[in-house]
Amino acid sequence: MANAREHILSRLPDAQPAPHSWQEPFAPISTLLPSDRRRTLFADKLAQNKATFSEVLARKSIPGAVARHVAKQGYAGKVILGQSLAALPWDVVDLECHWVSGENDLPLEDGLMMVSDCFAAAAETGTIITRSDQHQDSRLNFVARHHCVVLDERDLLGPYEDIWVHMQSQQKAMPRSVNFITGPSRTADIEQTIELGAHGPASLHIILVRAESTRPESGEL
Amino acid sequence: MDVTSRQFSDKAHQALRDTVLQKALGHIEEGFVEARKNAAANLPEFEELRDRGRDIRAHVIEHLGAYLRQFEDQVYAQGGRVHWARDAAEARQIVAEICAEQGARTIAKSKSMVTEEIELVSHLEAQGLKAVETDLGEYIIQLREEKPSHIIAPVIHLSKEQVSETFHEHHQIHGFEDKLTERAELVAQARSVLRETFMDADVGITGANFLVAETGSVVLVTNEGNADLVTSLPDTHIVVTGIEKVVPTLNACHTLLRLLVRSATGQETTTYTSFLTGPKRPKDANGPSNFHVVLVDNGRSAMINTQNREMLHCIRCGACLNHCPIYANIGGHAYGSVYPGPMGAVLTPQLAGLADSVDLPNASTFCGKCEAVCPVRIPLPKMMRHWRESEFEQHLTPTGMRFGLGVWSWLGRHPALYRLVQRCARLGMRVLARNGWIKALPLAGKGWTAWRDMRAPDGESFQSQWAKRGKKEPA
Repeated sequence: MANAREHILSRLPDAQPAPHSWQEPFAPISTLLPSDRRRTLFADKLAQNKATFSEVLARKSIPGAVARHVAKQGYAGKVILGQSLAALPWDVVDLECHWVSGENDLPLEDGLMMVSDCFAAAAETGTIITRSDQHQDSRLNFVARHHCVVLDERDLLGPYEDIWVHMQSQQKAMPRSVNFITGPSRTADIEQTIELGAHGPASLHIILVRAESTRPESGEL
Repeated sequence: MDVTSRQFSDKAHQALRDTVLQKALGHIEEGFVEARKNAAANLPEFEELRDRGRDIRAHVIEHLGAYLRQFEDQVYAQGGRVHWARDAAEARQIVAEICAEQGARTIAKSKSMVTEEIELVSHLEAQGLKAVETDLGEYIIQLREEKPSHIIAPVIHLSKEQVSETFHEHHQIHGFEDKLTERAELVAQARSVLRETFMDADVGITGANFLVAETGSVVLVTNEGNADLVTSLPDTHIVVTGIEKVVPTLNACHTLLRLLVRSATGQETTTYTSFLTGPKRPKDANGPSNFHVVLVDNGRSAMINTQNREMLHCIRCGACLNHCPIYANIGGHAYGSVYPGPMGAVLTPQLAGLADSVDLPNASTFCGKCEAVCPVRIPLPKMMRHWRESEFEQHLTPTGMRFGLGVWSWLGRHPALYRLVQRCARLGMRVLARNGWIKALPLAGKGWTAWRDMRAPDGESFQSQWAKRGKKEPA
């Protein structure tokens, strides 16, 4: 059907666009905030979208935060961990952990708690953003029953447009998948009433690792 | 595109008498109309975004060929393939061939109006493939062998009880024998049944909400997460979408996404917004090995140089359906087209021919609400009016109406006579009225007063009031 392409294109206006303004970001003013207020907006939007939220002061405290979340959910099964979290001190908590080591190693059955990293978040709507690469199995975001996501505060941005600038600073190539995730999976197909856990996770918890510059001077979070 | 829009009048009457449907349609006001209103009010830039959204869409259509070439180049650069389909048959054949190449038996599908338009699933099933819709609403429709009645809420016409009956009938083979009564239980059961489909599927088929020219990305929005399972579990991903869906840049895409979701469901964003670009990279932890995009024309290029060009700006949010007094009273099935409501009343005659869908552009009170809420400001009433003009020109208007319009037109060109007739009619209507209302109107047939009373003329005519004011503009 090679000539289908020519046939269709011959019927379309083909002028090369002159330089235009669509490259420029147009972000809502409410999303352009200093870091402390950005954190507040992010937490508000997470709550609005039915996600939960906790904070830790350092990456080494992540296993403890996961254990607290697991207990709060009343979850008793094994906890599936993304590859990028393998180096953390999981031996200090009493969890049955499974570190995903390769493509065929991710359990796909329903009902599991899964923990993974994200590469950025947009405070605009309380959205975490993951990208596929050699360490990130994108399926983990969608097959879990309970999803727990670790976010470094230095990766918490304001509007969506900043996500791409942030990514460009780390890699030039577009990843296969970039997933913007806002709260747990839901559907309102039956009688326009929202039910959580349609196909993806029924619960979403974010663990924010505070940046050194914004950490409170003393005290536990 | 096959339509049953010739039965519009009969089906609309049936819909008005269908008490289950009427109750279901009652959810639109709170579920969509109020939600959109709040979402728009909570974003100060909303009106400015609408202007920008309209400008982006107009710009894209102005340079559609160039942007599609750029998109195509980017998809190939990332290791994907692009296919072009002139019509529905070509699109179906392309998809069937890819499925055959992969030796596919099971296909998981996410919701796509273009695949509804080209009737892809029934075609694949006829080839012996098992193609399963995974969006909850589309899945219910597929089990019931119905068509969607709304472009974003396919089962808005059904009650919980009807869904329960459908699942009870079809899920017993999966070991679910009890009849469910709660929504949460119905959602959980569908999740369980469809998880098997995701795991078994060899091919995943999706539509696209947008195509990004600068990166070759396909953008998908869902709340359920089904599209993400469809695009991350099977080894082949096929995107089937219309040629008009392209946008220049990621930043332009975010402007349209902010508009799309607020206008559609009143959310600020959907739960999942995914930017998918080509197949799995060599070192990636996972992802489909094959990535195909099928660009479907099916009547779209023919719209470019017509009065309906702006319909190509549509981003399929469904706001015009939700706010239409006709749609809200009869639902989507009466329209007899996969595209119902005001956007469907413009699009269906274009895709299926005016002769088969002539009632649709007439199914409007011209209240203007559709244009007032359209995120990209498409002048839908103007376009429906164009179709009514075409109807008259093509002699599709019924003889009686044509005669009436002829008389009206002749009278309009004879002002003295027009005023005389108007005066007589006013007097006649006052005689017929009881307490200011007329229950049966001669000459208008039974239709008009069967559903509502006619207000009797009150006081003087517009023309005489105008004359008294000295033909001045009011202050």
